[in-house]
Amino acid sequence: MILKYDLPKSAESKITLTGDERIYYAVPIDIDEAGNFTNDSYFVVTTSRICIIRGKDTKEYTIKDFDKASAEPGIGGGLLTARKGDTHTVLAHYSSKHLSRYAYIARGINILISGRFEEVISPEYEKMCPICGRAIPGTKTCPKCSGKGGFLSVFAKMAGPYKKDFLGIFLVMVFVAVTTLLNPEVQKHLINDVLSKDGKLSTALIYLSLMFTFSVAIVILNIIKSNASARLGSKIAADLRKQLFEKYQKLPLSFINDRRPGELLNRITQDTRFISDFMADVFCNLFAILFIFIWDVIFMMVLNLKLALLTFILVPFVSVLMITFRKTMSRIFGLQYRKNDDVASNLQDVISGMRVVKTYGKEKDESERFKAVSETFAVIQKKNERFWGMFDFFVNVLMGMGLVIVVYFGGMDVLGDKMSAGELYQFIAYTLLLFQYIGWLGRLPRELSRLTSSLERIYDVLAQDVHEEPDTVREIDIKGEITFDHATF
Amino acid sequence: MSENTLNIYEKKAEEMTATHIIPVEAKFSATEGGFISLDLNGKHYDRVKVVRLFPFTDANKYLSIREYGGASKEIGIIEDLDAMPEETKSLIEHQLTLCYFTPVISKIYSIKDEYGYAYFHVLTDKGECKFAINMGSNAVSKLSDTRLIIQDVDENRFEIRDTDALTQKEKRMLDLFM
Repeated sequence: MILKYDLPKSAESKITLTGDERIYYAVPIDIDEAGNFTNDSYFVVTTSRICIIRGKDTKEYTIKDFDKASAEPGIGGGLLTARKGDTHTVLAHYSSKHLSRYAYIARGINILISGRFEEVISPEYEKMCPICGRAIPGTKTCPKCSGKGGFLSVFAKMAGPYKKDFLGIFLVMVFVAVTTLLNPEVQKHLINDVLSKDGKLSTALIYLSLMFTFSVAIVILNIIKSNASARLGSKIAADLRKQLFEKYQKLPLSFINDRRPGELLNRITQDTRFISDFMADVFCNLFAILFIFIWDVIFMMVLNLKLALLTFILVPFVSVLMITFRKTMSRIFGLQYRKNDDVASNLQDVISGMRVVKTYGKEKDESERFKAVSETFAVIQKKNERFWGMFDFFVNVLMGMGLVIVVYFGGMDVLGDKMSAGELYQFIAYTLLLFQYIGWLGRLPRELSRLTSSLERIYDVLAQDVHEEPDTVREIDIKGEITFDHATF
Repeated sequence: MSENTLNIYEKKAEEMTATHIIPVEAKFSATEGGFISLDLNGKHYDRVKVVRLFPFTDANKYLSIREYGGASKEIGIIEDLDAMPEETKSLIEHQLTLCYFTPVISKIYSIKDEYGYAYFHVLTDKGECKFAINMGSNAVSKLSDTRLIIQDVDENRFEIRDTDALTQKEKRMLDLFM
């Protein structure tokens, strides 16, 4: 914890150090004398003086003039006071942000009063990062500033141990992509070489068997991929659950008490499952889909540039729609997860306290309470699903319009002999693939917002620094008995 | 246990639970160092503490006046601060300002959530301020359907007296925590 802040020039200039006098402590005073927030006041302790800087004014006290300094906690803040004889003097009024800081400083002043010159150092961690202003989740350094807590780095940290599994699934997906993209090419030849002309049966059979082989290959590859994904998913979920559970046991009780039981439960069950599902299904597919997406676009442009550009006209609209609603989606689904926690917490409280509920005949009250929480969750879920249904519908309508454009202008080209029927068929197949993957990518913001929530909740636990027991700590066998003598109740 | 010891404990218990009402005539004075002293029934207290017995529901009623230090023994209770002389009222109000710091939020400029923390930028009766709450903890407590207490990561308390008085936009920002 910082006990010596860098003073701004204006404040620094107000302190003139004499001889071997040094500044020991310098911290902000964030509440002024009228009880309002202030940001131009500082409390500075040198080896011999206490200087209180409030804007342009400076008040100085000699440390030796006091008998004792105390940090008195209040509600939402505290006071640093100093006593001389029977007179107590308010030196600084601060918010809870500086409660611990001033407690250390009071100790430091008392050391100086006693004539010693040791400087007090606080081993406590800062709760807010003094650089970026973000909250520090119980760690020594700010995860963001130290580059350890960004979304990508947290995700990479979690995905890191499964690199090989990811690579395997990715390779399978590349094979799926290649066969998916090759199939329309074969279909094009079947239409152009066999169906449009008076083709031979043997040629048709070759194309048909190729198409059959590709279809079977896609099915087999998808089965392999599903199996590998499921295996990877369970592995990640099991590992995460284990890590979280072990961490729960090591964390101080204050951390556990500070959080709702249902929420802690959901972190182990739901959030770990979602992260593993995301990694196994979405993350693995993401690269393969991007791979198909890029090649799909290239094939479309090679086949018919004009038609491809006409199809792409709608892509920005779809993208803008998705980006615009990304924040809204993150908010409304975040709310849904929170309400889900409330339901789980309520349920957990009632079930674990069933004996109390029954003893006091509170079944009806508890069931009313649960009904209210459950209804709130249901209302929010219904609202969100309605929103998602509408959003998905608009995205699909926009993409459907793209297909209409392809069929209309492509059909005109076929009638004008500028394009073969097989090519049009192939182009339509690629357009369908394109929109299918845009649709898939469109669902990504929802998945990402959920992943972010889950990652945040899990990282909040995993990032906590736990005080490790020194090697010298050992279990001892305590023998004897406790006697209560003259105890009254 | 001897009867004498029991009597001592009983007497102590009686003393601890006895309630004395501080009369309007009680003489409170400002001390040199910024606190207050009390002269009551011929006794002088160098420094007294003021504690709200009902901090949320009756902030200016039932104020416990206690001795400073040690066991903080209660001297008496002020039933209604508004009924006290103006000078006493202002002295005690100043002490309450020193002991209780719960800014009341009147406007929410923004709430951004990032990595499990929500960052508030608000206007309070104590001035503009920014604070963060842990979204995973019970940072927001409902005192009633429309009254909230928000506790930030530093354990500062902020109050929203009436959520209905907030704008629709502000309510939507708060939605996540209600």
